[in-house]
Amino acid sequence: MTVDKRVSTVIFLFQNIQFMKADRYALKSPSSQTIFEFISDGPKGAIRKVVEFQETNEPGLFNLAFGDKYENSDEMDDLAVSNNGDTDKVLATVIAAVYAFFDKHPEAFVYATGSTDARTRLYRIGITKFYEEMMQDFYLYGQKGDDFFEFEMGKEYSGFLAQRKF
Amino acid sequence: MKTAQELNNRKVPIITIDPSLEKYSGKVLFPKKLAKANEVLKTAKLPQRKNG
Repeated sequence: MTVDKRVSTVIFLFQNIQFMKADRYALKSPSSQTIFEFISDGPKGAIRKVVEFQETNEPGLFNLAFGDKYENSDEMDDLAVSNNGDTDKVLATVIAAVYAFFDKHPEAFVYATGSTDARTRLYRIGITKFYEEMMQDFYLYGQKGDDFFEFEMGKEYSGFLAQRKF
Repeated sequence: MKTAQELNNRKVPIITIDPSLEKYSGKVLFPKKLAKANEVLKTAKLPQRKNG
């Protein structure tokens, strides 16, 4: 094994945090459990975040949408970059919402793509961080063009698809 | 009985059902995201569902 490969293996092991032990925010939901809300708490203050699983035109396929909720209004912003110093905790909470959604909707497929390339990369980082546990529980696919391939670490994708195993 | 730590460590989290969020039920909160997803998925070749 080359030094470069050993270094990337160590980096991978550090990045591959156990999801069950990861710090997460408490989630609230209406009874449908297609919408989840939590509050990010950091240097920029308390920021209300919303994860929505949207029914698409494809039967049984839900789109994951995620963004900030403006205070004192029902408006949402999926382009907001809050920089609240809690990216890992927010990612772990979004993945917790995915687990909760599948618990209530076990037959669903969930599709996710970022509102921007940066956010799509963030989703890929989230999957990578919790890769081992997610692979135990989900069939994961990465999208390239119109095609979906089994998710592989380190590859760029324009979107992601999950079906639960558990 | 499960301890608070065991409950916190579950993969499927404990969800608080909040009646104040019922106002969102049946609404699309991020309509542009849904439109974009429908557009992308229109021509996508989705994988076959796997069993188990």
